[in-house]
Parts: sequence; C-alpha cells; structure tokens
Amino acid sequence: MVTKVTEWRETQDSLVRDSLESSASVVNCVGGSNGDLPTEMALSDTDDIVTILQNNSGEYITNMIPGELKIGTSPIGDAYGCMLTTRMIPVLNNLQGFVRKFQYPNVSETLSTEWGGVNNIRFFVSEQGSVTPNASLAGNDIANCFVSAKEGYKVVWQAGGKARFIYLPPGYNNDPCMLRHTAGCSFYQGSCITNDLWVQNLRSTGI
Amino acid sequence: MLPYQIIEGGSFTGDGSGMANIQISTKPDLFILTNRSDWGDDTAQAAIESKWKKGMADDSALLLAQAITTGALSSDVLTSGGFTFIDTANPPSYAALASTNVAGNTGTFVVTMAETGSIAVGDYVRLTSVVDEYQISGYVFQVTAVTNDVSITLGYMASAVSAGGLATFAAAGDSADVIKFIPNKMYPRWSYIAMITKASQAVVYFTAKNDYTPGEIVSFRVPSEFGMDEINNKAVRVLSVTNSATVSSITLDLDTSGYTTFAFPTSAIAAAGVSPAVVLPSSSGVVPDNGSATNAQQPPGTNLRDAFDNRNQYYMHCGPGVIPSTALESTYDWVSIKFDKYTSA
Repeated sequence: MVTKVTEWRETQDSLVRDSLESSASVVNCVGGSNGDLPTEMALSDTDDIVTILQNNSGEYITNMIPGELKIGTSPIGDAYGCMLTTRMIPVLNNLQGFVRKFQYPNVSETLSTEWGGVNNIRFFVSEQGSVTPNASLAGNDIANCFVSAKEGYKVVWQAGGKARFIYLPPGYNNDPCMLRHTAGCSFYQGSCITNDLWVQNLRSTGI
Repeated sequence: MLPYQIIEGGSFTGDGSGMANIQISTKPDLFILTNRSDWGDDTAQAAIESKWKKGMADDSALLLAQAITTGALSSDVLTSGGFTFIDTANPPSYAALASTNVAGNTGTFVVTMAETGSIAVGDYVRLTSVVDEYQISGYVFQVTAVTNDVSITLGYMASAVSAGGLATFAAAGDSADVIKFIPNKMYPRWSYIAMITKASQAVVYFTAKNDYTPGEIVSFRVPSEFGMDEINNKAVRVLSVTNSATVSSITLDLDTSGYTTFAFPTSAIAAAGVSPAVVLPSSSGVVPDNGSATNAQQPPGTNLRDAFDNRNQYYMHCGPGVIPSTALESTYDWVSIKFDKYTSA
C-alpha cells in the first residue's frame, strides 16, 4: 500500500521502469567522447538503435511531423519512443541535430514530458527514469534509456484491480476512541516486455 | 497493519553464517532481536539482545552482552555489523572498496582487498576501473568466498574457466574498485554471460546466480567482440539449470558446435567501447517432456515458474555483530514495532 496519491502514480511508473530495466536488451553508447564505457549518448548511438529496431521489424510509434514554413522549426521523422531520466537532459541538448520540442513544426501531438527528438527517436523524460549507480567502466552512474518500438512492452491491469484511493475515517481498525483516520491507495498491475527485440536499453553516462 | 501496532515478530535458528535476512512488511521504528537459547545461560554471548531504532545509522545496533559464568550483562554500541533495513526496490548504497589485484589471468578471479567491508558470501558486487581487465569493468558478480580483509572470490566467473573452458585473461587487473550493491528483484532478470560452450547442447555460464527455469525461452545479445556472434538475437529453450554454490549455468536446446569460440575481448578493445554479452528472459516455453537433470520427466506443460514477477521485498539485515557465527543453532526471537507517537530528544 502506498500512502499518497502522488506516490501511487509514481509507484506505477517505477514498477514499469523496473520491469523494463530487468529484461530489456542492453546496448552501451560508444559514440561519445568522455572516455567512459558506456560513453555519453551520441548521434551515432541513436542511429545504431534505430537500425537495430528496424532490423528487428520494430514499428515506429509516432508519425512524421512534416516541415512547415515556420521560422526556427525542423521536421521530425517517424519515431520510436525513448523513456529516460531527467538527468539526461544536458546530454540530449548536446546531441548533434537534436530538435527541442518547441522547435517542432507542430506541437499539437506531443506530451508534456517530451523533451525533443533526433532523427527517428523522440525522448520522454521523467525524474523516475532508470539510473544504475556507479556501474560504468569508470564507476560513474549509467542512465538506462529505454527505446521502444510499437507494442514492445505492455502493462496489464487485472479486472477490479485499478487503483483505488481508500480513506477510512476515525473509528476503524482497532480505534475505539475514534482518534485516527487513514488513507492509502492500492492497485495491482502486471507489466512485461512483449518482444525482447523491440525494447532496447541504450545505456549512457555523462549524467 | 496500523502505525501504532507491533507489526510482526517471529523466531529463527542461527545457521552459523553470522548473518540473517528477516523479511518484514514495512520499515520498523524499532527492531529488537533476542537470543532465546542463551538467555540466562552461563554461556558467554557477544549479543544476547540487540536493537535498532529510527534515527540510527545503517549497520549499527545497541546491544547487551552476557558474561561467562556470572551471566552479568554489559552494554555496547555497534557501528558496523548491526541492523540494516533493506528495500530491494530502493536499496542503500555502499562505498567503493579498493582492490590491488583481480586474478582473471589465472582464472581464479580472486580479488585482493585490504578491506572487504561488509561483503559476505552471496553478496553482489560490481567491479569498476579494473586496470588491464577493462573487459569486466562494470560487470556484476556474486561473491562465493570471503577472507576477511584479504580477498573475495568471484567463483561463478572462475567456474566459467574451470568448467566452461573460458580462456583466461592476458593480464591481472592491477587495481579496481569493488562496490557492493543489492539488486532489484524484478524477475526474471537479464544476466551477464561469462562463457558459452561449443557443444551439441550448449552450456551458458553466468557471473552470478541466474533466474531461468527449464522450458523458458531466453534470448542472446552477443556482440562480435565476444566471438560467438552467431548466437546473437537467437531465442533458445532452456533444458536445465544449475545454481550451485560456485556454478551458475543453463543448458540450451541449441547446437553451437560449429560456432565461433566465445571469448572476452581484450582489455584494450573493451576500453575502446563494446556492449556486454547478455542473456535476456524472452518468453514462456513449454516445459520439456523428456526431463532434465533438474526437472523430472513429465507431460509437456506450460512453464509458470518463468512468469514476470515483482519479487522486491523489505527485510532487516542482521549482521555478525548481532548474530555471531559462534552462536550456531541459537534460537532468536525478533519483533518489529512502529511507534504511534515519537518525540525525539
């Protein structure tokens, strides 16, 4: 049981994060220049992941956002989705050719968590993103950046198991003097990777 | 449970390992451990009762010791070897410890350490900055032996050499950092490959105990730097599983006789940038009907033991300061308590 509504939502996120972390394919970034292994994410690394997913018949999740006659914008290709920690924001901003969300020709079909895109990957950041501490060749933190093709993983809520906020007023649970009330949330869900070829954990340092 | 209740309690018998992990349902405010067998006895005990309460540091404890013959009690404070509350989904972190030698060149994978800290047999460690053995830098290993403040042994890796035929490394690791950590328990998890044999039924060795079960389908990610890249992206049925004290392996329904020999890249190649060779849980397979060494013959059936599962848990780790290894077969009682109200000094 989690104690706050915000914790419950974060718990749902972290459960899916941990599930992906446990069983996604592992690919180290090697195109960066920081001398660690993995290196910080570089354009060649994202292109390699797109190639892997294309070789594995992974479908794109989002459609192309074509160019428009708007100053300072840039088109975005059909894209896979990458979920990663907010600690990767500086690395993303330094990626060659990275297009920030505000530079999209059309932002009507974006999420608030979207940070931007490069070639055929769009990036969605969260402070709940996966980080493995002290795990690189040089002992630095590694960001686990999950790049997924369409239907690469799933989350299942069992019938009747959707999240419930449970408030009990004073007088419940061995509280004869009606001194205490309790609140909590409960839910049950299952998550798993549906095709291990379609979810890649692109590991990066530089965070 | 409610916050103002004694949450739970129980008893167990010491196994002489000098530690115990007690599964509990939530983080307690007060945890008390009592040695019932030796209570009131004239046997000297370093810890007859010990406790940990909120605000105390990890691995610490307050304890009462019992003197020989008189049974007189004395108090003590432990700063290590005491209690640590563990949430495997959000585990505590441990400081890196220095190593002066990693014997990958001899195949024993003994890691020389002037200070082994709280590392115990069965613990997971990650080696980083392994000079001249960068091919295992960042890898995860399970410890199979500890000589206090002398060395730890990565026996699962050593068995990949002795049993699996892995070629030893060209040089010893001159220095390294060893970091103990507690892994997340989402099940089953991907595993680092230590060796894949060339055989009609290939055997895959791992660097730590594995989560796989007979019948399960596993998938391989083996970069060309590791040689046997013919197996890359293959999804293969597991025939049998070994998870002993020193060997972690699976036998596959796959003939690798004609494949390229599996070998770790050189330290220099690894430092230049490679991805690790790993096995992933891929999908649920039908349990083989012809049985195996670890799975009795039976009709084919759906394998339920490979189902994805969240096995994260809370537990209280009791260290050697509160459960001395000398107190073998002593019976301990424990109680876990949440305060209804707490006023700090």
